[in-house]
Amino acid sequence: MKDSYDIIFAGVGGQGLMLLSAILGKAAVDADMEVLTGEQHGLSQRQGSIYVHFRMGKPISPLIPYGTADMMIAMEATEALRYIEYLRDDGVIIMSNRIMPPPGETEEVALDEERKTKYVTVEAIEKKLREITENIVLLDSLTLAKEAGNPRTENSVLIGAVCSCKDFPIETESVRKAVLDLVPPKTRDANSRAFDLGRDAGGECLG
Amino acid sequence: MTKSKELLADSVGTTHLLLANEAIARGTLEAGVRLVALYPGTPSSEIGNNLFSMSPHIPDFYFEFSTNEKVAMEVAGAAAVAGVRSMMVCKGPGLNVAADPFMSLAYVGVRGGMVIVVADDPSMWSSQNENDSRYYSLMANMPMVEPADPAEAKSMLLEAYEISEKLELPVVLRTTTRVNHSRAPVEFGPIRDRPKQVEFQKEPFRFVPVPAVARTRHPWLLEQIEKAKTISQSTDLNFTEGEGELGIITSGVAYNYVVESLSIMNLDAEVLRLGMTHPVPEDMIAEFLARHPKTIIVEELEPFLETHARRIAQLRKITVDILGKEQGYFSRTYEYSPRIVMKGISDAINRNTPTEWETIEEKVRDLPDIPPRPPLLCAGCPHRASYYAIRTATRGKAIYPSDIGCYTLSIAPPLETADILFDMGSSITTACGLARVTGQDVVASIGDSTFFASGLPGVANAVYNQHPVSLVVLDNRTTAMTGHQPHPGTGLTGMQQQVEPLDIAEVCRGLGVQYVKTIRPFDSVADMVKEVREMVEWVRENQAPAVLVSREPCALLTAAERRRTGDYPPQYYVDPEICNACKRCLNRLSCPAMYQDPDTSKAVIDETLCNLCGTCVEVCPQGAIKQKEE
Repeated sequence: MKDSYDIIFAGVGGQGLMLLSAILGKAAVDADMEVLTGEQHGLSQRQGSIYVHFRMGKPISPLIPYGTADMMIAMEATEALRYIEYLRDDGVIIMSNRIMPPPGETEEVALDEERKTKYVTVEAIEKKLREITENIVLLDSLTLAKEAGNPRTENSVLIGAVCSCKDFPIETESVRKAVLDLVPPKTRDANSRAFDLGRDAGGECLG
Repeated sequence: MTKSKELLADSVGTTHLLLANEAIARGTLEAGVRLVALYPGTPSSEIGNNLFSMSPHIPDFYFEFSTNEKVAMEVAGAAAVAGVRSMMVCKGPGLNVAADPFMSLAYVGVRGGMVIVVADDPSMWSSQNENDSRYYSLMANMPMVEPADPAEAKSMLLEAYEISEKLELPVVLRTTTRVNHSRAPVEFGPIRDRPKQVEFQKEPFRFVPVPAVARTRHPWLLEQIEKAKTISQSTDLNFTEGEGELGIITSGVAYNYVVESLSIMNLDAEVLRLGMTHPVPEDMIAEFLARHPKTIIVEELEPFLETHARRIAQLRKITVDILGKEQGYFSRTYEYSPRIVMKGISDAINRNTPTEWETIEEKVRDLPDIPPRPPLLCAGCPHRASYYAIRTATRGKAIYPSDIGCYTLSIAPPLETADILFDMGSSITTACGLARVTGQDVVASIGDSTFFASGLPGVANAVYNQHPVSLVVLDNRTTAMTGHQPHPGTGLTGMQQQVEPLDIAEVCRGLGVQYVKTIRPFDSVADMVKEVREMVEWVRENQAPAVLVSREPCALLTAAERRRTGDYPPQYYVDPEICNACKRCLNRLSCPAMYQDPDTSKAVIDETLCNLCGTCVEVCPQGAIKQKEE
């Protein structure tokens, strides 16, 4: 019935979701696939929750129907939970273990004199996600990005991990080429290393 | 970077992955548009951003960021009257600002093609309302087309210019956020030359609608719209596809959702897709309704096509069940999705929705509460310091009229300095009304770009009528919320020329404001508190308007500049030895780069998010927030 490979990206405004969408889009177009995305630009970039619906193959509309996404890429762990209803059963989740507590949450934690209100933890998020799927790649993306030589290459870590998924429809080297074409030239080497680190880490998680 | 270069490429037949807004920017080249004028507004912003980057590289092309949409409509309208192709771009509420010249333009018409791109925002992702601009076309009698995806955004733009020149009328190209911000492959066509200059041929009895002229133009306009009906009847923009007893009439991105829904539901239906939605193809719709005794109308926002369909059915005496918003199958609010459309269609034909949704919802129901993450002022945003100072100086007791910009986000706790907002420029004018009837202190705030867009008449009004209002102009040196476009205060033009910037303080003095001061909030928040207090007291004593310009570049500009130069000030950190976990910084600033250590309850600064403004240093009563040694 479905003739497209659908990915939902989730993250926080400013994390570079639009660039990620452009990179995978370029890789898909270079591989002669059709692409259709639904993105969020504008006010939502101010530290807000954002998503991108990314569809390739023969997509019909810019939004993924509920419960049919093949993959989720989450650049921030709590944001993975926020859009989880789009993922199909046993879909793949590529996610960062990074948590950026929204100030509203901090306020609730800070105002609770009895200290019963706690921040949401990665462990709690992962536990819940495992009820939906076992195919989870949980990455320490910041550490890997630093290891690659530039803390701003977290997204390349995640894209590398995407390529470790067996049913991902684009060749790894095509994706790497799109990454290197679209990141700032000065950061190409670090991004390439980040990509490899992510791919290796992803491969280990998915077996 | 390379996107504008890509859009400029003279490479016919090549395919490029573009946002619809980028496709429209490309389309201006392929349509041979000579002049584009606009004021930025999301969801249309990327059109202007790309034209701004492209403008110096296009021969015989002029692009400007006008001071507001009314101005842009007049600049572009006049160019088309002179005989060249022109374009005006705005968001939905922007057309409200430009409504006056818009209505007149329909009467006088144009000689060169003119397209007005208006981007509506169902769900109000970045707008103060979701008014349906299609009614403007209906009211002004201006033809309208509605693309559903990036490729159509460009092809319909080209078609719109043809229609415009055939009818000598501007044409509205109406999009919605979901179309503007969709990315898809778009094929490039040839670039069309633009005339260097044209000579203005006078025709005052057409272009000056004094009553005697206007009375001749209205019947002319109605004749033109009759001709437009013939175009709508024969254009490829309106078409039918599929087969089935059930009929569905749809337009815009809702068309894609309909096709996807029919595929998922395995449902047969004939679909009438309308690309030209004013005037609608009357005969085509009548024949369609006659063929389908049950016809569903799927369109976002108001029942525009639905009302047309009911009108046509009544006129032509067609017996048909028209199912849509009037019976509650579809909503008049928010944007649609495949799921919403599937639900609406299922309800209308009395069928169950695909069952797997319930199981999905069952699973999601058990998820832990996720903290909401609304948009917020960025880490390092100078508005945070300004509003902290305004609130502290007035102890939260003044009335705080706000305006359109990032700073409206100060509505959220703990800053809570946005009490009333109508539209661009309303901070000053609502302050005037409030000050007259309340007797309370009124401290309004407005951004720099908004100040030039719609603030000036309000300032003149406050001076002329001697309203006792305090105004803080938050001058962050850019039009931040829509993606950093320049404005008169920056002196950078749409053609990337640097001219003498307009100085906000001088403009206020020139308009007769007696009390005008300028301050840098990052120099000292304590000083700004003092300045706000002084201004409010001066207003009380003098019963006249006063202005404080709070000038500090947008945090995103500062961050970009630091990335460019590699020159970073030392990091800030909370010294846990000194921090006594009073949480004042967390509770008063709500900075996204700060959180609480779960074990010690002390504040922590996330160095990867901190934009190094140092406001928290001043807010900490213990002196626990420090800057690392070089």
